[in-house]
Order: sequence, then C-alpha cells, then structure tokens
Amino acid sequence: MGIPTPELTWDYTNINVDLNSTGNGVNDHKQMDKKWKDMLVALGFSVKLSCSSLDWAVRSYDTWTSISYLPLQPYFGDYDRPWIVLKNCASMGGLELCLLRQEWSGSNENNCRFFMSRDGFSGGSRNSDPAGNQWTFLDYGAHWYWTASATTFNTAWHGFIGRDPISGDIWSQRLFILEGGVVRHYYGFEKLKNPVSGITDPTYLFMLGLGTAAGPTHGNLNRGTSQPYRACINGSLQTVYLSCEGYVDYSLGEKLAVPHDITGEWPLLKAGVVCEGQGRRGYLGELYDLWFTSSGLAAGDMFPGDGSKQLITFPNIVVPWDGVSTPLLG
Amino acid sequence: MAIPARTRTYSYGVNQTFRSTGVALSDAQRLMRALKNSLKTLGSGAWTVVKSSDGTTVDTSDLWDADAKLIWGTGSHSWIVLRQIGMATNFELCIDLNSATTTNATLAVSFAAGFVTGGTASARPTASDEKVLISAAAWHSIPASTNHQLHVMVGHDGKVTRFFFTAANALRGYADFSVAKGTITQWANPSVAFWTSTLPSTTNLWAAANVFGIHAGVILSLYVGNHVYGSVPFNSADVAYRAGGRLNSVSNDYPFFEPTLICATSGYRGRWGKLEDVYWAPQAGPPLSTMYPVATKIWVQVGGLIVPWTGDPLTTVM
Repeated sequence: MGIPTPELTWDYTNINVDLNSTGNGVNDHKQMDKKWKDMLVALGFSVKLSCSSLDWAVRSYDTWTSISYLPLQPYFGDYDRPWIVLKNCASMGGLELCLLRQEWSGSNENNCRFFMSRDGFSGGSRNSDPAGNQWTFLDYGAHWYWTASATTFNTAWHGFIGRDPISGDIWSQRLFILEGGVVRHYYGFEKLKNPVSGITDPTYLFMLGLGTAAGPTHGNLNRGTSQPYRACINGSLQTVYLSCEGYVDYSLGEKLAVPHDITGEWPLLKAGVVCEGQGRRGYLGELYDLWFTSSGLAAGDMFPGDGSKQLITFPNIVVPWDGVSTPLLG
Repeated sequence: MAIPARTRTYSYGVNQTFRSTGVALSDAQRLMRALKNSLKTLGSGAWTVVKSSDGTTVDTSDLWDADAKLIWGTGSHSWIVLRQIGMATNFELCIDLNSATTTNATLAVSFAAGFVTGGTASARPTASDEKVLISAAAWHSIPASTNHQLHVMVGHDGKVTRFFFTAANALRGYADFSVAKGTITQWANPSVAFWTSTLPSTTNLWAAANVFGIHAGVILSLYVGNHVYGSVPFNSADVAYRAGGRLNSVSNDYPFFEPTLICATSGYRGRWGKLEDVYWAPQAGPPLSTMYPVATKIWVQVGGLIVPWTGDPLTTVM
C-alpha cells in the first residue's frame, strides 16, 4: 500500500503554532479561547459579531483582541459575558459558531458555552446571548477544555486549509490542539467527497471538538461512543459516523495495533460518512484526504517512515503534512 | 452509489434446474456431477480433471462420466481432482465423497503443490499444501426431496470461479475460488478459497476467518473486511435500524463495498488484498433474486454478497 497523494491543495501556514503557558492557570484558559478564535479566522472564518469587556458593546468586528477583555462570568444572573460569533466562508456553507465565556459559577475556566447555527446568529447584548436557529454543543457546566481550571499548560496548534485545486475554494478546515503529546481538541469542517446522488444541500459536515482524553479516535469517530461528526444533509442537522474498513466488530486499525507483519506498513483506511437519521439514512459519501490508521501509532507519527513527512497521525486519523516540519506536540 | 462494472467476462451455467427424484443418492449424484461438468466445460477459463476415482478405478481421466459413478461411502468411494491453472499452476480442488451421507463430502484445495500423494479407490490423494474447506460435512443445505438449482460462473481467464445452490427460494450453498486483487506485492500466490453449505454472510465471512489462502507455505485464515461503524458492519442484518440493510434514503440505492481480505494471525497480520468482482450486499434488504441494475441484471445478490450475473434482462435467479 503506497502513500496516497492528497487530492486537495493544502495550506500549512497555520501548523506548529505554539501557545506557551502564561504562568497563570486562569490566563492560560483565556488565551485558549482567544487562540481558538484566532486560528479559526486564520482558517477562513470571519468575525460576525463580538462582545467583550473592551467596551461591552456588540460589535460587528473582533473585540476579542486581548485576554484581558475575556472575563469568565457566571451563567445565572444577568452578568456581562464576553461572546463571539464566527461565520465560516461561503464554500463551507457559512456555518456560524458562537462561543460564550460563561459557565455555572463563573470560576471554572475550562468550561464555556458553545453553540452553532446554520442559519446564523443575531441580536445579543452584554448580558444576553445572540440567538438563532441553533444547536447547543456545550452549555453551562460543560468542559470545553480538558485541563483543570487552575492548571497551567502549554499547547501546540495545527491548523490546515484544504482547497479545491481547480477553483481554490476552501473544502476542508482542520484544527488539532495538542497538550503533552495528546490531541485534546479536533475541529473539522469538511466538504463531502463523492456525495451520493440526492444530496443537494449543502454537502458539508463538521466536527466540533470537545475536550477529550484522547482526541479523534476510532472510539469517538467510528464507533460513535463519544462525539461523532455532525452534518447538515439536505437542510437537516444529523449526527454521522465515519466508517472505515473493519472486521469482527471494529475497524481494522483498532483491531490491529501493529503494522502489516509482512510489508511493515501501517494501514491507511478511507473514511466514509454514514448517517442513521430518518430520511437521511445510509452511506452518504467520503472525506477528502483523511484516513483512519492503527491505534498502535501515536499523535505526531509520520507517514511514510522514510523521513519525507507526507502525512501525520492525530492519533487514529491521518492527514497531509507539509513534508518538512517536525510537529510540535504541546 | 453508482453500480460498478465487472472487471472480467464470465461464462455462465446458471439456473440449472433439477427436479428432485425423491431419492437422496440420485439427487446428490446428479447435482455433484452437474457441478463438475460445469466447472469442466464453462468457457475459456474452465477447469480440467487431473485424476478421479469411481470407487473402483483410479485414473487421470474423468471417471465421473455417469451419475452412477459417484459413490458415497467411508470405504470405497468416488473422488475427483480438478485443476484451475488460471489461479496457479497447480491450484486444485479435490471433491471427496467420503461419507455415507450424500449431503456430506470433503472439499479440499491445494494452492500450488497439487494432490500428488496417494489416491486409491478408498482414499483421496493429498497435497502438501492442502486446506480442507469442509471435512465429511454438508456441502449444501438443500432440503431433501426438494427441487433445486445450480448456478456456476467462471471467469474467462479462470481467475474467478463462483457457484451457488438454490432451493425453495433460498440460497443453499456458495463457493468462491479466485485470485485476489490489490494484493501486497509479497503475496506470490494470492489464490483464495471459500465454501459454505449455507450462504455467504457477515457471520461466516466478516466475523470469522473462513476464506483461506497460502503464503510461503503457511495457510492463511482470512476475514472478509467491510465498512464498519458503530461496531457493526455496514450491511448488518442484526441491527435493523442501522444504515445498512436498507435503501439509502437520500440516494434511494444500495452501497457497494469491496470485500477485503484481512489476516489476524500473528506473523501475518494486516490486509492482504481484495476479492474481485464481488461486493458486500445489504442482507436485511433485498431478497436473493435482487438484480443490479434491475433492468440489465449484471449483478445478483446471494446472501451477504453481490456477484456477477448474466446481464440478460430476461434471466432471473430460479
């Protein structure tokens, strides 16, 4: 099995972004929120609306320009709370994300509120949320980051933009956040490859990464025990699995934690998209330039083994790499 | 998902219908000889008879020239060895009627060496690299005294042979002798074999290693891989609400997933290749006779698999 040639044209400008600890646990979490915003903007999102302690006004530009403007606030009561709405580019369906620095007590810095909307958010004020036809991803009392609130930590960020080699349109955006060699977050926004006939609107899907202990694994993408992808399929929000080759019960990569005994090669398994939702049930298509691999590999392992650094493991999925850089692992 | 094209042409001996005589021996003799004759005569990729026994005589010719020459028994009995050079120089199938029960037989293959050792009127020859697929056990599951059919298809170059039995609107046995495609380069003789007396399914292909091959003199036990999610294969019949086993509610069609060959035995672990001109089919959905496409009938569903069919719009599975 050779190394596949990526189908999209990949922009590696935003890989190996180091985010070192400020030395203060609260500020480390604040800078995570700001960096999340900065990285998504770098990958093609734009700031649609924002509100922060800069002036506590709702602005149509980015006011999350400093972590000092991002105090975490309690959920109950009409406290002023920073929030931001990011809108994805047109080729990715214009999906909007809303992050609010607000949680149950206002003291758990690793919690936040997180929503998304296909139709978009509007309104909002310093003490009320912007609203839309929205889907709640995290609400008060939920971790968005795994590391405990008062803990200091370093992270490494790897952002990828995949473009249609013909039109230059963005067809894939991926963001991996690692701490101590472990992928804690994975965000993926994908245009569906080879969609089955009948999918007309708008053929993209997205993964929003919760703070997890292991990142994008067979368990949470293929087996669906954690947080599988979501997709808008013909106007309907659906939960989808990523399928791949397997036998007996699980994927080949999960069953065999070793390279091929004869060839010495690790598996690269095509990722399909499967939905069980009523009216959207079936195999819907595939993902560009993303493969499942063996659980015997660790985040940062490269394909092939000749030092050419063409693909990188994160940790059970494999995506294109720039061929040059040594990955930072946080 | 678009219906794939076949990669090779086939000679077909399908819908060979046999009305039960009401006598188990007569039914078995007729069906087994028809199978041998089909393998021996179908197209440019036909098999050849290497040696045989009619329970009295052993010869390098085909002694199974009449139904009565097929003798079942544990003492003197009939056997035959067929060779398929399209798969390997000495890829051979030995059919041994070594049981007092006519629905039983021993089916063994030799991947390269051939059945060159022994061979008498009471014992089949053996091969140094043989794999017994079925050992004095059921070679089909056709109910007694039931009309039945034989369906055989042989690729033009002999690299793919498949046959199956039907009776009472159900699949009653299936076999595949083929050369794997997309193999690892180290696999010098990627011939594989599978025979079940029931039907090819998730249970006996995906969840159990019942396809056999050989590498460097070691028999490989191979699982047949499929797309999986949620801990089940896509075409699982056991979990009806799953996406497989039903029409895609967006595209209104069924998926075609290529069956891969996976070994889990230490020293040989990994994917070795794929089966050619066969796809996983939804098991809980269409029945045995479902054709793809409906109009042109180039594929037919047999159990959990979809295999080539005649392409004759007027020919359906009997």
